[in-house]
Amino acid sequence: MAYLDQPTRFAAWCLPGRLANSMNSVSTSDKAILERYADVAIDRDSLSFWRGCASHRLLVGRCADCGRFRFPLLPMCPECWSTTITYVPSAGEGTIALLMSLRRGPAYPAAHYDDAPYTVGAVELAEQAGLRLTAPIISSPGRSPRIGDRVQLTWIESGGAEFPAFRVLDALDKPDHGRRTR
Amino acid sequence: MTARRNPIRDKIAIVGVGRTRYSRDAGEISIGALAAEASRAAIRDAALTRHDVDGVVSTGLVGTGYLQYVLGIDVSWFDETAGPVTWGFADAIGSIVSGACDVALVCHSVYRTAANSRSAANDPLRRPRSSGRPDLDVTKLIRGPRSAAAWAARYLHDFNRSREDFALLAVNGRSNAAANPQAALREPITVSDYMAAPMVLDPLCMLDMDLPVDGADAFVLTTAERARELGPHVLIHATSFGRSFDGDYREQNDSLQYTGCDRVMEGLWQKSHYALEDVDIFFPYDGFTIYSLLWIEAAGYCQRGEGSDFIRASWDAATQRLKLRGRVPVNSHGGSLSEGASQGAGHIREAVNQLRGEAMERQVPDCNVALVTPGGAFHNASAMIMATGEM
Repeated sequence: MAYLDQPTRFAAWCLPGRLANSMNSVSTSDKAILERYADVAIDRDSLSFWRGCASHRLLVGRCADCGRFRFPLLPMCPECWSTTITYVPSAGEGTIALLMSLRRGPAYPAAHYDDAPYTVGAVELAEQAGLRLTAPIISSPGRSPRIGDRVQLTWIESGGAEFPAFRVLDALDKPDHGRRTR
Repeated sequence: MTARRNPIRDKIAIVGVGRTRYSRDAGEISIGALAAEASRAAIRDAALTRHDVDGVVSTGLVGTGYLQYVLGIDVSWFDETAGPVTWGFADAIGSIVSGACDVALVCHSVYRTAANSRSAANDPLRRPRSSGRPDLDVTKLIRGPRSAAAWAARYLHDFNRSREDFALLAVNGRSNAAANPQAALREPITVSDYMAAPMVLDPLCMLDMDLPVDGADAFVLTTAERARELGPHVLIHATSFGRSFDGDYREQNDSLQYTGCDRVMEGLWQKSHYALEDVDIFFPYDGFTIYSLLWIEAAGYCQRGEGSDFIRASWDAATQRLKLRGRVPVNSHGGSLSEGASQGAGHIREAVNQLRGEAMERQVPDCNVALVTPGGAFHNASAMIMATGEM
């Protein structure tokens, strides 16, 4: 991702972690995932999500019967009550639905408050209206993210673990890929 | 004296039951999956659907906010109470008799944990759901105050407003608290003070958020007959409760067009013989200013998104207070923003004081009907209409 080479106002808070730019081969055993995400409360239903993160796949739930997407991962489809749920990777494209700037309180991996607040947004994923996932929003210098902005999934590495984030696509940006699974 | 009345005799039925298998080891299944399976079975056994259930009570390890989301249920009533499950039944019976809901699901779920099972202690996936750092977990990033901030930003975006619109609500609370000797914050503030206050969760600043305090309120309730013998009292005319399906997952609420507030007020006006015009004083919950704004809109004073203009039109510059429709005071005690955060208890206590004519210099003349709406917009909305009791 070329934009990572540019300085951004978020570059500071990405240290000492770094934005991950390659998919490493990782062990995805239960034990390895639990060790990697030791500070996250993982249960039987969310384990797959974090396993996906470890290999840069953003997994959302999809009902095998009615086809509806749902996040976070659930053992049952709230729409049709089917318990046949598959986990599918999201294309990671969407728009910002909710947005806030955090100035205090516990920080996301690699975020800190030394020089600026950092923004967190609920992103409405392109796969389905209302399918939302919350993560930090990263934008170019001098550009404050806004509700409605188009964003693209990226990954933050911190403490040996991968966490999802979204970067704002500028007007000149072409999406990395135009896939839609809708 | 032990309780002897039985006002529910023959009034409530059990219409469905559901269960999962009990086992020494259910294998690779979550507590949430077990609770969902049993709940689904019970509702199906009753030949009902998720749209028929409007009450969820849990006495087990799974919270109602999760049960709602996994079952896809908008509720009027929800409660988590300590077991045994009979307490859940008492809760459900009471909520049905009172009209808080019509069809209640009571779910009790058990799961071996490190606390009661040696084999479970070796299973790291059986840690308590609450453990871990929520700030690292993208499934939990919008919770508590953060959900207020996120939806406040969405409000400003959807209706093209600025955060200055929240200021008058903060100023109103402080002006009222000045007349409340027991309030925690009594120093008057202005809109300029508001705009200069430290930003906490952008777009919410320090003065948008209620003040944590030490304090307590208590209430005694009995039958209206007993109350007439006892002296000055206030009648609970109607109550309403609600939470939209998103439950614990606040970022998943569809939009600001249908929040817990809207569900609650829809129910309240159907239950009440009083209309909005009859309300002499209004206590919209103000844990965050955005919640007050949503409550004012949901109550019916104006449409969603029009609250800011309505508040400006209702501003009494001479007293630095709100007078809705030129008449109705708002949070006369100072609210959670200035009296102190009591999650609505202060609002109800002040309503009692006002309706009994005992609000001292804050007393509103001819105050006979109060509307109190404790709770946030999404997760725990409720409303009550209280009226002066006849002697």
